[in-house]
Amino acid sequence: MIGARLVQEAFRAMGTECVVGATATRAEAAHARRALAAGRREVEECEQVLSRFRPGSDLSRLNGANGAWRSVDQRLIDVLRTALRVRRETEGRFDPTILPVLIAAGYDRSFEHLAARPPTGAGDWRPNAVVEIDIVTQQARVEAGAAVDLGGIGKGFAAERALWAMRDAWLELPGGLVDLGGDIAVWGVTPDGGPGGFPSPIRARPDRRLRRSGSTRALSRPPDATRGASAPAGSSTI
Amino acid sequence: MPADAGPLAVTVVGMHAAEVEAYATALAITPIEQASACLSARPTVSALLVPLEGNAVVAGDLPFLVAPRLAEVIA
Repeated sequence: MIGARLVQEAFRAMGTECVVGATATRAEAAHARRALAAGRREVEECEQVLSRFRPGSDLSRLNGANGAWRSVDQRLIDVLRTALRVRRETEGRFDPTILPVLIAAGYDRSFEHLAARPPTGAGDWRPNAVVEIDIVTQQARVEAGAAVDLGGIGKGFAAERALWAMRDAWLELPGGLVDLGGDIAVWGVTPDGGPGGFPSPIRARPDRRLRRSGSTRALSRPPDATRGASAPAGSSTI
Repeated sequence: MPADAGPLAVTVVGMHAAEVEAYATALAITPIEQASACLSARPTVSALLVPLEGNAVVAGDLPFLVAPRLAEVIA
């Protein structure tokens, strides 16, 4: 794009450094700022729903329900569905119900507030705890004694949601990036339109369409075929 | 499935950031030689795995342009 640059904003959320960015010309600066604000707002809303360190979050209410059903935000329903699917596909190598073990190992507060202490036992923890979801009534339950952590997968989920929020805020957004501490979602074109930034090969594969995995407005909006870009891509580094 | 000694670093790329984060967690505790099998359920997910020793390994059809220097490492 001639005259385009990466307009970006850094902030802190979900216990990590976050960046939202958009490809825009100077004339589009106001649109870009609106998109970035929408992306940041979505990250913060995801944190409010998915954080285990916020007592009032939907996840904390679910973990504290002692096995009872709880009405929760659609975001939590969506990320739980993905988590349970990957747990099944990886035969339990990824397991969102590992929270009691994390706490026993000392990860009992937000990362920046961690203090060294000897690990304790995880009691009678066992993997693959029962998590049930009712997508009709938008409720979920975690078996009594178990608890869910969505620290990593929640960041990936929030990154993609934020990217869609940016597109909703600026329908002509040429390209966008959301980086939540290494969980990165990208879409569209880089300012220079070349390699090394947003994933051009993704754009070159028109067969890869966004799967409508969520029932929320932003995630279910059909891809914009006029730009040749069909879906965001995600990247995570550990 | 129990955790095993996995690679030194894992980068996973796919169509959905939440999904690839979860797979990155799984691959971090999976022996490198089992990585492709771990990804078999999701052909749109691929990974770059850096072992403790030796060259980096690609599992799946890594859908991004590899910088020349990294390409040399992988080769």
